[in-house]
Amino acid sequence: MVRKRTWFGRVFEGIMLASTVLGHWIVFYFIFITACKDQAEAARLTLAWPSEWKLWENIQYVMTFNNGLFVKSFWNSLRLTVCSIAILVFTSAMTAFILQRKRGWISKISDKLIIAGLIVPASVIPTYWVLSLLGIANTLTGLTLVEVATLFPFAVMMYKGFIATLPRELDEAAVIDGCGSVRLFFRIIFPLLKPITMAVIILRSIVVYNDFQNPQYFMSGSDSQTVQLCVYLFKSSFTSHYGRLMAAVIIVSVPLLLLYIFLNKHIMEGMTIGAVKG
Amino acid sequence: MKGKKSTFDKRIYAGWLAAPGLLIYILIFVIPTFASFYFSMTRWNLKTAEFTGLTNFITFFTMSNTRAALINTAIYAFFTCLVKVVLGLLLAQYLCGQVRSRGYLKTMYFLPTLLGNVAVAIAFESILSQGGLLNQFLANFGVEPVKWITGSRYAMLSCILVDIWKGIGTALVIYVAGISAIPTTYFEAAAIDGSTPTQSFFKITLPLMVPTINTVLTLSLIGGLRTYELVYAMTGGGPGYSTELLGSVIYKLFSRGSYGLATAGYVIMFVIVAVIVFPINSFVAKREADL
Amino acid sequence: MKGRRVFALCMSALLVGTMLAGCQKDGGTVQEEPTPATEEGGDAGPEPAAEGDKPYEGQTLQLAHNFLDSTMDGFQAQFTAFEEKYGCKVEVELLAENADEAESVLLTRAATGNLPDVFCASSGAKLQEFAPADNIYDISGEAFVERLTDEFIGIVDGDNGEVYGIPLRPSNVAGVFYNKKVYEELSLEIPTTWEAFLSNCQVIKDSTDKDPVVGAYDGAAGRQILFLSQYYYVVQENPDFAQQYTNKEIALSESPAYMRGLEKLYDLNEKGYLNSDPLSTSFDDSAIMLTEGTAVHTFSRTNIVGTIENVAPDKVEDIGFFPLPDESSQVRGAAIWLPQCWCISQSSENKELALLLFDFLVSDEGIAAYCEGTNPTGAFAVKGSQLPDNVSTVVKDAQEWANQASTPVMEYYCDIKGSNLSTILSMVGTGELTPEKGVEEIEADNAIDAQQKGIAGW
Repeated sequence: MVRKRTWFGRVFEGIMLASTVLGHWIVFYFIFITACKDQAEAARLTLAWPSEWKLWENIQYVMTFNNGLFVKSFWNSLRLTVCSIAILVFTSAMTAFILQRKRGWISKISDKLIIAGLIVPASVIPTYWVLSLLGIANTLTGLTLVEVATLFPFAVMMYKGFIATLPRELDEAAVIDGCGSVRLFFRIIFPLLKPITMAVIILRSIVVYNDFQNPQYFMSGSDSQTVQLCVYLFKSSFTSHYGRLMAAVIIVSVPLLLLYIFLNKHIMEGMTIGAVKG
Repeated sequence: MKGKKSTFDKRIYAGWLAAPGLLIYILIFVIPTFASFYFSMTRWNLKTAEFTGLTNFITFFTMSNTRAALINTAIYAFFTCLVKVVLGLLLAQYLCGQVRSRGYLKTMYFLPTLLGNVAVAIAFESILSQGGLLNQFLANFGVEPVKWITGSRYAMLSCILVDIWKGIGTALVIYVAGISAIPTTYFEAAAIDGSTPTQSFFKITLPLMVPTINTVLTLSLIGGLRTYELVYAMTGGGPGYSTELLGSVIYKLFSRGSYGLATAGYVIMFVIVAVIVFPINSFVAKREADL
Repeated sequence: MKGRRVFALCMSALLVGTMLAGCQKDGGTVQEEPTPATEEGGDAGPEPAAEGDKPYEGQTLQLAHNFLDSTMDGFQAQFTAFEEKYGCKVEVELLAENADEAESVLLTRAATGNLPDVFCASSGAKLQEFAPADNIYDISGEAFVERLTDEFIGIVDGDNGEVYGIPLRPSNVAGVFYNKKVYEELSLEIPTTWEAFLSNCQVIKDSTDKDPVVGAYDGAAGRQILFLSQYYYVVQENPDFAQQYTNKEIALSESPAYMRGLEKLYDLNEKGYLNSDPLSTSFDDSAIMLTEGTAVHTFSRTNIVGTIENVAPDKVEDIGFFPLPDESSQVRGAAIWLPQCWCISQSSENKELALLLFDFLVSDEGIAAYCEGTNPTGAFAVKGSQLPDNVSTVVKDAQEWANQASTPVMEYYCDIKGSNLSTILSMVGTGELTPEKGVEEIEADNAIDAQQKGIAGW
């Protein structure tokens, strides 16, 4: 496997590096430098240095727009993400555990339904109808449950794959030691699922935080505006003020970029597990 | 023996542990999915539904933007999927070799997957606009300004490229994981036998990567057929109907209050996705049975 | 180990709690839904009368609208003044800027009983989509209704004398906005016919590098204004056009005046008078280009003046207005957009406070507050209200046209509008569809909408 780095290899690597400069760095730099400009300069859409640094003004404008709508929607996105991921982790792990261990006709039907859910899209309007029958349409609770249901199949499949590798003898030993099934799950099994749990938490948080479609359909409630919707609103509101628009883009992207910097390794691992088991 | 085993199972695996998850899933996903078959055949305002038979389906197919949307969706799904599957694999193969900057390269390709669709749309809408960065750059080479997203000629192409820019990181990471899982002894043995890296790729990597390729293929195909947010945020389906996708047609119908018709559109999407993806994906179920 | 157990218990409790919460609310809605009528029986809201001199301290009124242009500044000024006066809070939710999207959000919420206390709605025929008798609180008995103009009440009333809303902003006058300085430089005359307009454009095209017309086709509204303003001439040709079309007695393509609207849109592109990339030109961009003089005309509504006042306050007086010209220099007139309305949701628990807000909004104090936040773009639909003196000349001119020769656009009289109208118009406006093809597409698209709405005869 160890080969000498050839002349060709070096040149090719150079090309690859150059492509990231063109394809990524210029894009990121453009977003940043535009966010630093006032309206007239930003409208020129160039890479030029701003004559006056307006980054702070632009960020301030975005944050205070309509009485701090952006801050409020951040809080909503945070609640949405945390709640739906917490519910997702526990419900899918418990379901996967039972479905994997207990083979009966219920398990078989559930398996089929869950695999189907991996593939077919969610039917939005009938879902809205169900939520309204439950009295939770337009609420963050409703949106949370929608996110859980959407991500449920994939999470269950990941957990199931992993649980299958845990020997049943473990369960039996635990039961002989006097564990009930709840204790068995929470004390023995769940801690062993940590790698999958980490993967679900990290990967699905990204999905929920970035989700645009579900909030777009299900939002509509003054306290359930998520941050993605908010940026979309800005898009139609600051149509010609690219400085503010890009400031909003930066603010909305920062949380995940920070997450990435701190959890880089976990994200990569999570992707790996998610990919291979899915 | 078997009877004893199952009573033991019953005792230690309390079925209700599965209930909360299944309840949410059935309530919020399964029931609406089945309900959609009924509502797709009605004129529906969320309160009352008047049965109209197959009228909605006929209407849906006669709409001029639907025809465009079906073709566009096919093109979009095919090309985004193709590039992610092939280019993703080649990139992964390259990054698994002796490349000094592979950590950096992997990070760069992965970074865009963390951005939201709307944010990406905003950035590229200004980069690709007529007076935007790309045209400014091309002007150095004497290229006339091109309407990348506001001209029907390149709009679809631009959307596909942006989607690939945003999504290839996922494919890449999955592939890298797959290649890393191949024991290095295989390659060492092959090298001793005198096979070239290209031969190793085709003889060892490719066959062993079939399940991983399948995963990437399925994921990007499903994504390509269902998604519309990125394109909708960037072009709104325009110019004309040139970037209209199935998902955006449904959303537009929804936003005009034609819920029955929009649901019919959903059922059509459901059928298309199922017909295309289930056969390709049946291996997932098989693998599941193996476990 | 113990900690984990507690944690597990907590999580389970949380789960069960979520479920129960869902179920409880479920019960609540089921009870409410069959009897929406009982709630409207009482006149004021069920709020207990509070004591003290700030009787509404601590109360919050939920309000939703989708006006993201300068109108929003006017609203904000009004709400702030109201909050200061009564000590309550008005919580504003912004809906999608696209009017159709915003309306659908509200419609789904109406269908599921989730409307905010106060919301914006289109007045005229479109108000019917809300099933006002079921969803909107009738304000006909209130004293402040007396202050509204009869014309406005005519577009927000029910069959039995109900009144469903108050005007939310001044009316908007649509027509051609042009750069006076360029007109002076080139010594152009204000065109009174479409022919004359086109020849002005030709002069501009030949003698300058300016765009004769800027089309703001990035947004749905910008694509439609020219075409919808043509309705003035459609009405001159056939006063019953909207009614007859709703009853499917006539086809759109049979009206020459209607077709001229599409032809005008098509002409601009065909003759090369349009700016180079109209589909990415936003409303704001068009305002900027007009004030900078890089473009000379734009088809817009008076709310563009509000935007100009924000982006180039010193250039407002450079902008002039004339109505969309047509065949004859004798027949000229403008189309107007009457104010949309604020409505109180029937399920609101804050009706008393909402009525108080309404009273404030149409009072002199409320209108003054609006004018402080932003310059009004036209007349308020409130009796005796005057445009403030500092209103720009262009708005005064436009309002003069509105007073003398104008008609509200077709949407107020006919609710049939397909989901693709703005796309079809953008295709005509960029030459992808001819007017003849365009009208075919519009007819087909409208037919689907009418069928989906269950309008008789379609």
